[in-house]
Amino acid sequence: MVFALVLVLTGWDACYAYTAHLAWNTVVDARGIAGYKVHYQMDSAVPPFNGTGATEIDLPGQSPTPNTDISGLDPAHSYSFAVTSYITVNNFKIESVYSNIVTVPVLTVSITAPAAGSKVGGTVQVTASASAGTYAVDFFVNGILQIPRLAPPYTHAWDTSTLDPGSYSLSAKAYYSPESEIAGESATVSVTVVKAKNLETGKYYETLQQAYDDASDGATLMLWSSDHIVENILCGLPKNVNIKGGYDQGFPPNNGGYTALSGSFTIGQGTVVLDRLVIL
Amino acid sequence: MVGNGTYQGFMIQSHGSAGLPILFKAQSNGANITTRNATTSDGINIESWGDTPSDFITVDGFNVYNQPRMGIRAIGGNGIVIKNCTSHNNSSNGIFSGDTPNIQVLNNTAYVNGSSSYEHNIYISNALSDGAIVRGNLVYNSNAGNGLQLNGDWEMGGDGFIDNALIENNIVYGNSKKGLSLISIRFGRIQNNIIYNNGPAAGGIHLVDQGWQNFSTGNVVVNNTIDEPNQASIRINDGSDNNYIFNNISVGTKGIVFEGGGNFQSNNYSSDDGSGQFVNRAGHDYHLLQNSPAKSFGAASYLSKAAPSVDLEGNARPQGAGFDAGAYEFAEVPLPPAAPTGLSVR
Repeated sequence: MVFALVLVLTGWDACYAYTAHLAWNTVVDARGIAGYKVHYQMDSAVPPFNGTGATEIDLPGQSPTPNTDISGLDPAHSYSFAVTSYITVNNFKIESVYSNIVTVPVLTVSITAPAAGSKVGGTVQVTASASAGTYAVDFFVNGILQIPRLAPPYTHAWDTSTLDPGSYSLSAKAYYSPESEIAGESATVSVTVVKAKNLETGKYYETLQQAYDDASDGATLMLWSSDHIVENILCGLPKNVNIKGGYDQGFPPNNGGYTALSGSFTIGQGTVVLDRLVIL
Repeated sequence: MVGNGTYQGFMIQSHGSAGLPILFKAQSNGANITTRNATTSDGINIESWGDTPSDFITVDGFNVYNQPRMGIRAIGGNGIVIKNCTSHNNSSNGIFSGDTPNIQVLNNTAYVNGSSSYEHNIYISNALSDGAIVRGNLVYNSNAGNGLQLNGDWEMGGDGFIDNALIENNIVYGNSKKGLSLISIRFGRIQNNIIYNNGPAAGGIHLVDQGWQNFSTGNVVVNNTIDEPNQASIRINDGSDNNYIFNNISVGTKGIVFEGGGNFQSNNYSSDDGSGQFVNRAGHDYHLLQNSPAKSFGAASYLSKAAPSVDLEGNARPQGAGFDAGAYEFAEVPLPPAAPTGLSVR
């Protein structure tokens, strides 16, 4: 029984469905509007909406603000919606032609930058690409919303300077309208936040101390522009090392920015050249 | 509640009240009464006995057939209701009542009943049966008698009249004798009935006396469709007077026949063959065609007698320019309302 329950819950979790909120203008008719019908169908905008994949919902009664919710819609399919009004004569419903037809497309979105597996730091430009019909995009880091309803071109400056080094998951959702539940979800892109890079070897390091310790004589260590390194650094080896801040995601060239450094910085042996660093 | 199955008939000698009638109801119309009850030769018998009137009894949904006498019989009770039953192939009347004030016979099917011209598919008899309602029944192919008969029957006592009966929305056809035989009835309404192809020597609706007395009078015969190719669609015998005949459709060469004077008719649409009037006369679909001459041929009222406000199917009258003749009001198709605008989805 426990195993079966786990299966059910897993399957349920995999089924994402959304609710569409429909609204339209009330129709005034001297004979009295007896109700409205909502017609919708999947994967086709060609009326009439009947047959396989089509549904009709009868909404008896009049309202100054007619509306309804339709739940259980599958985001993997497009849906086209229309509304009719009707009067009742001798128990027969006399129905209008369709209203304007609204088609909600399948929304797709993907993270186009940074690339999966990238080493990033400082301020990272995260960019998404979304399909036609997308109103806005949300960005998430480790599932936590960063920027809601971002308008095109769907680019977000992700500040990693206060983050611990390590792996982070980036994802996005594309939304159909400002308040909509209708969304498409991207695949997750994993990146690693690092603090330094050795120019000669191309190797990344999660701390500046690790980069210094591993550096050979004459090496250049590059730090991200706009990053903030909070470490107590001990340069105690008999070697010459250049530490340069202000690099962008391209590594190099230096983009003219600076890198902030907090904590103690002790030089016990050798030579350390600091360039474009702001000591706080 | 009686479950589906095959049963012996039963006899009722008890009574309810107007607010709390006693109901005998068949489940899903699957209770078949195939043998007579233990006391009389009938399937279901509701019988007042001495000081025990069988008032306010309702029998609902039984199938009664092959009885040695009547299918369903009710004697002497007030407020009896027989509805949704099927009664057929019984040796005498299919559904019969005698001296039953305010009886209601509703939505039953009665066919192939009776063995003589005195035995009918449905028969409401005797002068105490005032206020009878016979509505929505399908009545056809009686063996030897009429489809539906009401008879005040002065020989059986009382004033010899059935007063204020309402006979409406019935479909009556193919019976051996008359479709509706109305003997000694007063102040009744016969409306929205479909009547066709009854006995070649009988006809559709017959308002008549009994033995030259107790003439049928003061009745309103309105908005019926009667297709009787062999005999009169409506026949009122000499002496029956002050009957009001209007808004009917009569098909057949004999038409509406007043054998005597003192009756009134207006706005009846008569023709020999009904051509151009009906959706399918041969198939007995008597709905009117779009361009039927019977459309708007009727009147809202005639000599202070109002036409019914709805037709056989409950559709409102009038539609279009005026009241249609016959049992069906042509359903004019109104313009649809405007389509909604501004549909948005979020």
